[in-house]
Amino acid sequence: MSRYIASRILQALGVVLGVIVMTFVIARLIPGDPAIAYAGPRASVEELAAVREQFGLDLPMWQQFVSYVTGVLHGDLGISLHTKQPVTSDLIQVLPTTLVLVGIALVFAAIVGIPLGIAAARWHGTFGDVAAKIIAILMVSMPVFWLAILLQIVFFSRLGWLPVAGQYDSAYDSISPLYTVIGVPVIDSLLTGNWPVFVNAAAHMILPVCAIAAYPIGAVAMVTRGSLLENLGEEHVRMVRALGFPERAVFGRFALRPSLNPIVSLIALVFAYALTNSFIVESVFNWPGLGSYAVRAFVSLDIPAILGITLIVALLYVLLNLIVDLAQAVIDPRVRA
Amino acid sequence: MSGPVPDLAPLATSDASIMPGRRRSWLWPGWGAAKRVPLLVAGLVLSALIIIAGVLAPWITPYPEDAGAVVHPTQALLAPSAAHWFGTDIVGRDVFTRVVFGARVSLGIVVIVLVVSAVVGLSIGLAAGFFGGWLDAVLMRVTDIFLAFPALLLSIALAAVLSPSALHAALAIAFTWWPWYARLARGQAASIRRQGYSDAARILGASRTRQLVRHVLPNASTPVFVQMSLDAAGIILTAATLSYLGLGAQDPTPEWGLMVAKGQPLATTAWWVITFPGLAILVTAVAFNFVGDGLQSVFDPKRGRR
Amino acid sequence: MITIPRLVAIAAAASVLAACSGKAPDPVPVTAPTNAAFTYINNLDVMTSWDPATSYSNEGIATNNLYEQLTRSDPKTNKVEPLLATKWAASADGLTWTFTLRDNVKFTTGNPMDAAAAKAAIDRTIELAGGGAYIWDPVKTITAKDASTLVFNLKYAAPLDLISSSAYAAFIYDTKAATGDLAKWFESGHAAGTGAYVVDTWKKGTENELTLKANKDYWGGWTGVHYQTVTFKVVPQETTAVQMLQSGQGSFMPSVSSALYASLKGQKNVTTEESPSFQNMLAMLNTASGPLADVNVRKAVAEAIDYDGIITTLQGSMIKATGVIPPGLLGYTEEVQPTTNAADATKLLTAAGYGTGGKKLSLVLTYAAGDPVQETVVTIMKANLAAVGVDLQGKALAWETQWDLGKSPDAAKHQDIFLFYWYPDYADPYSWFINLFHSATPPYFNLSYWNDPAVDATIDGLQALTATDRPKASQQYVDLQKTISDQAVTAVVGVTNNRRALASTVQGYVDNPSYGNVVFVYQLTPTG
Repeated sequence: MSRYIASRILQALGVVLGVIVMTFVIARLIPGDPAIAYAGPRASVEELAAVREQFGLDLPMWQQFVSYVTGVLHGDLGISLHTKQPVTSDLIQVLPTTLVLVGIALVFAAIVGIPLGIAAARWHGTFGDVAAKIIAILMVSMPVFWLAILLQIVFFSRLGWLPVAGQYDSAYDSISPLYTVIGVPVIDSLLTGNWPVFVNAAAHMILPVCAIAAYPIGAVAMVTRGSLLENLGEEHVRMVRALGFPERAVFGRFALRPSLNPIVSLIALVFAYALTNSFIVESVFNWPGLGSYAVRAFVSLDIPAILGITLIVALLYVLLNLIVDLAQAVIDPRVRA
Repeated sequence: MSGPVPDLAPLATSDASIMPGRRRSWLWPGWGAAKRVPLLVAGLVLSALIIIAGVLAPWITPYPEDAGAVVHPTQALLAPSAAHWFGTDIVGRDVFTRVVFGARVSLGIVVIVLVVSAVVGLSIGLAAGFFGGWLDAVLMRVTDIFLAFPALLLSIALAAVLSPSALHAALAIAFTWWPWYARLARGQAASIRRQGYSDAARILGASRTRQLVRHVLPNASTPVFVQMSLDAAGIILTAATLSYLGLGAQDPTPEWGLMVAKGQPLATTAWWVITFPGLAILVTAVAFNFVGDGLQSVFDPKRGRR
Repeated sequence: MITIPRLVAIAAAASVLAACSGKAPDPVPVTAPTNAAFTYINNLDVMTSWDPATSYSNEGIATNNLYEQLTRSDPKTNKVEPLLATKWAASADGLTWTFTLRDNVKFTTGNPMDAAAAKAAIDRTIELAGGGAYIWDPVKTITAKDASTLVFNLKYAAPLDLISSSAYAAFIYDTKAATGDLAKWFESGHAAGTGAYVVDTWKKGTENELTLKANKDYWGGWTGVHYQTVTFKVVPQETTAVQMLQSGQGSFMPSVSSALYASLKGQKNVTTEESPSFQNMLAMLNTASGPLADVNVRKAVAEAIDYDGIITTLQGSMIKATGVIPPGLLGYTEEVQPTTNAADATKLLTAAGYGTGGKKLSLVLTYAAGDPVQETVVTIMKANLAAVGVDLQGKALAWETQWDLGKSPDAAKHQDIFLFYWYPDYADPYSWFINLFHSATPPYFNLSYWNDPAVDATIDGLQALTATDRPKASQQYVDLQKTISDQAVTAVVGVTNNRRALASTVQGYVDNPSYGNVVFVYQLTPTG
């Protein structure tokens, strides 16, 4: 067991190193002079040289690589060309917002998707099963940017039920001022017991959460259904059924439990997908998180920021995969083999 | 991970579980089998219609010139009518024409991505699985690194580096897609090797290359084929997302994601400009997902019990 | 100057007068919130620079609420109104101007705003010579005669009352605000003006980029109903912005594109305002490097563009331009008409070795991401150029990035065509010529990289000529526009027709084209 864990961690570290190399390679592929982008409009030739020296852009490639790796290991991802702040501090500022949004979307997806999958498997072959399947496929086939815009039009423009964009109405700043805890209004207001802002912020989350959750709901439902059906087909389950156990027990105890494993491993995949989809959803809903930061970095040709985002998302993904693998190894000893 | 998950399979973490290395005939099991899976039939029919529409676009659209660089200032933003079934866009181009031509662009991207990533992925994966040893270790670690980047994100970073175009978007997607085929093929090759019938072939004196081509490749091709059909929808969505972000096809290319992006400022006033291209993406992705899901259940009936 | 479409300006002339003379406006008989917040919805980042001496971009919408000039102009009435100066007079020869400053005005730093402070501010702006500092070119010396008397001696006669009302580079600020490096202190998000508002928070790159709060010691006082806070919200998606306005989360949008504008008319919680502007959209053609260095290729590009088609497609967002100078300003002419002639364009291109049998011509155009009007113009230009066999690649970039590449000292980074907007610093055409068509190294806003010593000489003399002989100056402006058109230095796409949208709770908004997209928030009355 500990050998498995050690080798798995080692493997993850190798991947992390590879990820760092790859971001560096991408950075060097990018045309254009980062010094000019940073030094700005009126920079003289001398100022440009100074900036090159400051950021080590005049050094040989291998030295730049060494200093890049050293920097990354120290949490230094360079200075954003757009915000002129360290990319690391920018990311620390925007990441909680996005993680809260994606986290809530995933929880929501599990709450809706798992029962949907179970129901489809339970009433396998019926019209309901086919309907559930079609719904799930629609969800995973939905272009997220289009869905986000449609949600805005329907629930804001046409029905007027939900707010269109942003995190909460700034009007509350004067009525019920919000104290910052982690920088995400919906959590901050909850932690400080600021109910008016909480209700308002929660309403602002509904549409973006739905847009992000669409794909995970479909994926979770399909995996749950498929995995349950597979287990129901297993010999031992059939035997239990033949022995006259009630259908509910067969279903719950012998089929459902082993089916949870694939769902756990699905989390990492769906997380990655939801995180990149949040890029688009955030920009449509003007949600000030990683996605909006990324979209702005693209139009600003802000290479340090783009690389920082790529790196941080890849690292999150590696980490989550590691946790999922280790968790599964603990739950199911067969995985270690 | 198991089960029929359209276009999720490329995100799988564990190669051994994507597709168990069962021997399976590559031969089409026949229409009879397909008929028992109504969604597959629906998917095949829809996909065929979309492909035909794309191929015949210049002959079946009312204003084929609108797919290119033309503008009609006096025709801007006309609502759907008999003359313009899907209305016109902000510079007066016929939306119906552009949506139909869009099928060509999207299908072209799908073909490029699938061919490039299958060729690259299969070569690497088969080599790793068949020869094993240090080659396997090195190739698979490299694959792991690529897998650590969410596909869309790496495509975005790459597309931001390359000058944006539909071709570059396709190559960027392929760049992130091949590792899934590498893993899949490696799993197949390794399991076939374990199953020993290539041992038998070896005893009979077949060369390594011959074993690879005659035994391993055909046995790996069924799951790869199923995988490709599952992936098509994911590629359509990724390409559309890149275009939406301005990192894919550029105007006047009639790409669906780009059309939604350009129409976004008009979403509340000229609904037709974004609705039809968006629907086209959705319908195409659904059609491919039906096919992929159905094929999986036909070729792997145990897990795809219906 | 102006670069981007969404900036604004306003002021009910009556309320300007009331405010300027220090009188409280009549109380408004409506229930108004005591802590009303004004939210300005912008599609681009607001602050690119904080130094009131050199700032010369979109931040004008904020700085004009933080700082004040000596005077304020209103081109609609053709009048200059008092602001920090209560009155002024020019000598008969126009070479000496005496301004009397308002008493008891303090900077938000607590230091008094007197003649010595005003002199120090203008001197620093002139010395730094950045941004719009050229407006002070006529000034020889500035003297603080006593605490409230400021005297300007000019090199040549110039309308100094108008110049001192400029939207940029004319702010009176406290040069003693910081003990160390003042420019650095400004750039870290500080202001030191006399305006009605002070900086509350600034978070670059975030949605609520900048918030201002009331300057409690403002000389105009806070009796009556005023907005107490101003938020500048960055919302790149126009549909989202409009929907925020409708739901009361926004107060003002400086520019709304045609389709949305039509849909807003008649809605109960939104009011719309339409007015001509001094802002035009220009496609600056690279005269120095690349294929457009050949004048015939430039002419072909300019002739390929379907100007009428663009105006038609934009459905009222722009009107047709004739020459570089918009209507209403000195030197406006109808003699320079843009021509669309695809046949002639093709002929020119063939002569230059492009097209059938020749090389394929590919051009790169940069424009600001987030502006639907530029987006549409680029789409049309692509089609127009494709029709004559030219491949136009449009690159949407953040404004700062677009400008950084354009003014890079490295010509290899320059685009072939730079699409942007310009509006004057005060109601005078000089701004276009000194900034856009006068040579400068490294480039700043002369993004055609045009360098014609004869033209430079003419431009250098124009400010003085305007003061002494307006008809002659007007003729020179017309001649310059003819030269620019003959040389195809720029293609003027059209003149912006301002289409603003306001929450109907906002009362008292009046557009002032001299200040682009600035809203003087203090002059507005919140209701509801």
